[in-house]
Amino acid sequence: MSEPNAAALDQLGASVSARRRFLRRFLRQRPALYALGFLVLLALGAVFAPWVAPHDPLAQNLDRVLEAPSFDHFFGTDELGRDVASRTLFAARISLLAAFQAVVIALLIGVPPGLVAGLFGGQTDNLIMRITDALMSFPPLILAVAIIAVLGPSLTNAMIAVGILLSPTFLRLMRGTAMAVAQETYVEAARSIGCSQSWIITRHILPNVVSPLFVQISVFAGVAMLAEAGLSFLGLGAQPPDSSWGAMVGRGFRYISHSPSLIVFPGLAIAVTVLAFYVLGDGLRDSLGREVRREQ
Amino acid sequence: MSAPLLEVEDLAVEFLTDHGWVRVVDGVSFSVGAGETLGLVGESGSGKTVTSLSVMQLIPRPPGRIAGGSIRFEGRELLGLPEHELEALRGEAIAMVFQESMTSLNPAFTIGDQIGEVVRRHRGVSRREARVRALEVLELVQIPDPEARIDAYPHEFSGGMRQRAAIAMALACDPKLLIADEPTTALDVTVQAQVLDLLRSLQQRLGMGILFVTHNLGVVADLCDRVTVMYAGRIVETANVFDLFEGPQHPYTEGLLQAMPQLGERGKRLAAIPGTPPMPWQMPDGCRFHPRCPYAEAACAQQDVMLTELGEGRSARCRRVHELDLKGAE
Amino acid sequence: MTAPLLSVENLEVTFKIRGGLLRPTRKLKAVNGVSFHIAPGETLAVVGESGSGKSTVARAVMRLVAPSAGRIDLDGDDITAMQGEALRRIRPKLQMVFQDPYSSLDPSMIIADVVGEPLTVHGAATGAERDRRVQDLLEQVGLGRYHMNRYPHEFSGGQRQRIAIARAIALSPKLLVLDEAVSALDVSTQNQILNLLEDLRRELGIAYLFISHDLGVVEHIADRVAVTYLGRIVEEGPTERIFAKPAHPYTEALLSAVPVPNPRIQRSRKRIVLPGDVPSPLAPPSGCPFHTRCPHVMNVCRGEMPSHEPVAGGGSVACYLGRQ
Repeated sequence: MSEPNAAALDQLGASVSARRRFLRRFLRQRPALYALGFLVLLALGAVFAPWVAPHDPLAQNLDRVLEAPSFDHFFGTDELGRDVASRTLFAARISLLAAFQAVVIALLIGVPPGLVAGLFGGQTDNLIMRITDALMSFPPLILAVAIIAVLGPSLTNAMIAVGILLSPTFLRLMRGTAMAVAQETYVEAARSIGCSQSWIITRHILPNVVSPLFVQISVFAGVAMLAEAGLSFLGLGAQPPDSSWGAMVGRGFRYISHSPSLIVFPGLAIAVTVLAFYVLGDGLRDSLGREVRREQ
Repeated sequence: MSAPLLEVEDLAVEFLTDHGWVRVVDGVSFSVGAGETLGLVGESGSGKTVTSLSVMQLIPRPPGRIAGGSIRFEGRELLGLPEHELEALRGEAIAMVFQESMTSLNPAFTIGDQIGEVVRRHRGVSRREARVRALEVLELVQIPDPEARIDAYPHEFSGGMRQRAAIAMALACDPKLLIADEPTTALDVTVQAQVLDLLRSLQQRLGMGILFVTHNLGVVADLCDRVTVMYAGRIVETANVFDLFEGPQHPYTEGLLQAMPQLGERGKRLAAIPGTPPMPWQMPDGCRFHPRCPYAEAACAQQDVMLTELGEGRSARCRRVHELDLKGAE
Repeated sequence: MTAPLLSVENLEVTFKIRGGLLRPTRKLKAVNGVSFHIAPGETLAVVGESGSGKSTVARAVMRLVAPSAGRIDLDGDDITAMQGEALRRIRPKLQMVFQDPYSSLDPSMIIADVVGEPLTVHGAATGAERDRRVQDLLEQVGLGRYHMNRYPHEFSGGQRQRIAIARAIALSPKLLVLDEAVSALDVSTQNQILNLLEDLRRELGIAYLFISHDLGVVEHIADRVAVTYLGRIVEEGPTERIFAKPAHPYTEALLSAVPVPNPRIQRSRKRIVLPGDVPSPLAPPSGCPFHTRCPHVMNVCRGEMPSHEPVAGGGSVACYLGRQ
């Protein structure tokens, strides 16, 4: 009886680590895989843009302005005769980097106080949540414009504004998850063996709150990208000669009747990329979600 | 005996898991007669609950599917019946009671409204008549002061009272068959004793058949007429309750009976079935119990074992059924 | 008699139930004047139904909840109000196994870390030494070294409870609190764990505070039994005496309500079916808490809670029946 029997051994032989289980589930999520593949390709394309792009994105050719897509210029040319395909690819660098900046800022601002509120509760929690409520009760666009007005118009400043706006959601998510995890029996079990408070937080609570965070990060990368596009469209984001997709749509807007391809392609790039982030987030959630539901 | 109320034949149920389609109920056949209580016994993962849910086709689809077999109620095939006809049966001729009564009662409506709703849906009677019937069944399940309790919400009831209310709701349309899935498991023993007494007296008065799903052999000994034991998705033994406890014919049944910690047996080392039940995607070849069976021989691991009919409604799925002399309950 | 390992005197635990907008904050006395002792190496079972406060007793002894009155002594130390570092230092003597083996193990940790955590936290062993100890512990509970790098979700309920036990005995505790430690398991695995506990007690001389609602299990494992009802101990005594000659009407009813797994005996024996439910601990009855359901209730029962008086055959009972 003290020896594990054959059936138990079989069961263990075929079982795998939590991470591999998650991976196996994730690999079965077709749409999420395509989304991830697209995002990886896009990131590679952005990084290697100087080698991949068919033309110099800044090379003007005033003989061939506002052309429709052709074999020479897949996405056509803009009002200065620059190749829209190359510009879209180079703009991906700015757009992706901007989304990354905003998410990192949102994480930095949102996660620590969220954890503190969730773990300590009481008056600390009350104070943090009231500040958050106040922040969230501002109309987001006005708040963003105000922040940019203070910091000056630049892409980084715009992304700081977006990061601040997104941070309450991270805060709330962290607070909720930390509260739930702190209620788990294994946290009480850790107290019962004599673990210190800081040990419990770093060893038991943090590792168990990061999974839902990844889902939110993916979704918010999409949201940040949309916000960046909106702000750049308004001229509050990327400044020339840099160009993001949003800025391209903004400039192309003036020629919309003449040459719709100017906004169609960067617009499409935004739509597809944001969608990819959302789909990836959904896939992550589903692969994690079943982990929680398992065993039943 | 007249034709049985419920006949399940060769039922197979599969679930889509990380390991693909997995058969969790395999070739299960049993019947429940009018006025009879059949105990469906097994440990967690044995497939007993999936079997009971399949009768009313309540397994979630997806990820589940009924992969084969036949379920006949009063001679009528239920598998393949359109959803609206099943709905007409559910709560009418066939009613269910679950382990956690809170899940079958809606917290937003009063007990009386919920029972009345069932009556009105199936009987098409007026609101007032439905309320009269609700009062009747609340009295039937011995809820004290039913006139006052009929307007209470589920959360105002204790666990035992909620289970009574759930039973009242199940009985509202005079079902011919009651499927009870671990209805007393979440209750305290003193309340469990009340509910078992209640079920017994209700059955005597109403003559319904009961399919009683449980893991508790003490409850089976108390209430059931016949018993079907499941292990790893298959039936291993079926017998009259007295025969089963006195002379089990399958080593797994013997193991379960010996493993019951019985009152009046202090200090003796407890009998335990070694190991754990197999996962449904890793069913052993041959007899599914052989890796844990103290009587297993080499041949048990090789050939599939069929149920052997032993007469008088007994059957057991064991190669060595005629050689073994197994111990019953003391 | 040797000095008790654990002594609990007049323990009370009160919870505040937060009120809503229209409801005032209420106080729930989950444990109300409970006293008991456990000798070294002894097993005391605390039995009761829901609302009896038995799990709260366990958590108070573990100092996971703060007692609101009374005194808890462990191995000569008053631990009633111990805090921080002092409490951490007595933890090795006092360990616990929880009811649900699915939620009591951190899903993000491998087994080597789960079982080795007490050793690490108390600086008892590190590195290769720790792994060697973990391996020994796993073998002691019937698992092997090949389990060390796996995650909790890969194990069955019974195996997880073995892991939880290995972790609990890592620091060689003197008292192990087992809160419904086998009730989530199937019968066949439940007995494996009970036998394991029996073996560990013999080999290591650990005392158990065994919290359970299952009288069959209790009769098997306990030396003495305390029967609780609505936050109070109504009867206490040696296991044999309690089961053979219960002195409190509640104990008697509880024993008769457990169905015997033998249809002939079960269907012919006399049963006491108690009316009604356990009253809410938010509004406990006056006097003896059992008087609302007691078949022998007298007027005096509604007044004062009866005191504990000794019973022939050992132990004590709090009941007016047969007194005066």
